[in-house]
Amino acid sequence: MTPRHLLEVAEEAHARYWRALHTLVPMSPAHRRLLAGAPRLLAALERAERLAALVPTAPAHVTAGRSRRDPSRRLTGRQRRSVRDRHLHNLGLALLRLERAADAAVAVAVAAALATTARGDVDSVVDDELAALSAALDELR
Amino acid sequence: MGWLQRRRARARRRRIAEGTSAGDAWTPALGSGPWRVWYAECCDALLAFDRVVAALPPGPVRDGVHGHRPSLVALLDTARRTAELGAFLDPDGPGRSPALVAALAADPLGDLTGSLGPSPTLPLRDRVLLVRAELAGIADAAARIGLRLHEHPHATDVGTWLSGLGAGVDQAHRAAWLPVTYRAAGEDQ
Repeated sequence: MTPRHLLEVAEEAHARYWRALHTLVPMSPAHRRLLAGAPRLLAALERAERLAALVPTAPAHVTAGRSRRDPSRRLTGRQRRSVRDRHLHNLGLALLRLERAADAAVAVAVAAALATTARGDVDSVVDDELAALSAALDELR
Repeated sequence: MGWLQRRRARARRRRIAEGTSAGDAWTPALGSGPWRVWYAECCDALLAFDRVVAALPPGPVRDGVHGHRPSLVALLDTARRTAELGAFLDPDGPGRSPALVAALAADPLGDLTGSLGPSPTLPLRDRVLLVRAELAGIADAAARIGLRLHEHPHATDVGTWLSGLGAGVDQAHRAAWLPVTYRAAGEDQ
């Protein structure tokens, strides 16, 4: 799986978020909330693009198990990984967060479309999904 | 709402009514994924109901069974709306895309696929499948009425059979109800 493939998946998640946004009634509370979260999603996508650009040129060798500044200190398991692996891991995490945000947006759209009870309960169901969306957008910071 | 929007809304309603009354699995275009297949199965159930009605002898029973057809078309419209939404949000169905799963599984520091929850469009799939089951059940009930009528042409409890069919249609409507708040933009609320 190359960084280009990872970026394509991230762009698909971004597109899903916008599709979910377009299914909502314009200027409804859910629509406004999704619209407010869109710049954060775009920023996460740009960060993923920067990481994907760094991966091919990053050194792939595994560093020594000791710190260069202080040889008596052992590095953590993550620090012992190569820089390329760490960039790839960060790219995977960015992709996961984007996917979660897109899932939360789709869940808002689905909850709004499928709530089968009275009007007040419809709002409460959508509110629950909006709270989940806020949590997913907070992860993107 | 201006006259142009009203005219467009009327044209859209007319298009939807024509599409759903025909029961055509290719209208609307739902791609080639599972959403189209599920909607096509709903259309098949409605066509099965139509075949049963056509096979009934002319009379009050046939009129009574045929009287439920507009309700079934409305049910099919619910399935259409749900399938359209599902095809728009997840064109390949409610499963996770293989590219995403492969991307998360190939992470150098460990498999990240466990961090993903279930697909959010699963409820839409369940709703379309529910409508499909209800439509198929109503077509079966109509077929049973036709069979009973064939075996007992002079039966006197036909009214009971028809009321049972009506109760089934009502139950299907309650199960597959879709709120008006999420009709497509441009349609009357």
